[in-house]
Amino acid sequence: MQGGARPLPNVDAHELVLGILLGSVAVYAESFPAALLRFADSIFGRVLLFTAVFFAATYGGWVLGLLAAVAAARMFQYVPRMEGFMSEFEVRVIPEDSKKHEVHRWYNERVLGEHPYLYESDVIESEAVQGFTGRAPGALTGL
Amino acid sequence: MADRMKATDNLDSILRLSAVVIIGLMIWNYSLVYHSPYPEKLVELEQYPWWRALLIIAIVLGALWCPRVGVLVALAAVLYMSDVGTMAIVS
Repeated sequence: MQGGARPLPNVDAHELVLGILLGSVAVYAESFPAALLRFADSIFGRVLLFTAVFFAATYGGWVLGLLAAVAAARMFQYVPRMEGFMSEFEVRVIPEDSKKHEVHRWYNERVLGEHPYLYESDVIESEAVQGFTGRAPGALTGL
Repeated sequence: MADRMKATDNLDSILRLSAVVIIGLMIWNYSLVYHSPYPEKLVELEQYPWWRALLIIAIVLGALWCPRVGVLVALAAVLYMSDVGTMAIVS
């Protein structure tokens, strides 16, 4: 006789818990803290997530690997991108009567005399000037 | 996985082929063609966690039924949640 229902595979309790955990990550990825999502988007975080997907597929079966890949993709989706002013950024409002802030002022407040009422981020990413030869101001290599 | 790649009978193989074609067309129409918007109901439902949980369950059930269907359902679900979720962030 052919056809009929195909029995479900025997699911280990650990695999079931891991599956529910990965499914929850995929469902609630948008609620994760921005710092955690930024860590996931770093080189170390990407390697960690890739390794997690690999081990989930190797030791938990390919269905768990697929779930892990979906969860990782969902996490990358909500990584805050520094493109303009968006509500998802961790905007830090400076309270005016904060004594701590009176003591520890930022560089632009102390030196440049600025008085901002909020900061978008306290992490500044900068890169060195590329191709500067020193021969003339603004001279570029190969020009 | 290898045993699940094979269809049990003709009806199963037809259903698998139909699912692959339908999901493939959905991916092509909604996710790959830029000017084709998602239906309004799908856009509204994406914000609810229970709907996203149903999508995850659909991925698991599709994967347990047929690996090809599971991978395509996962791809469609990720692209759908990515497109609609990103749209919600921007707006």
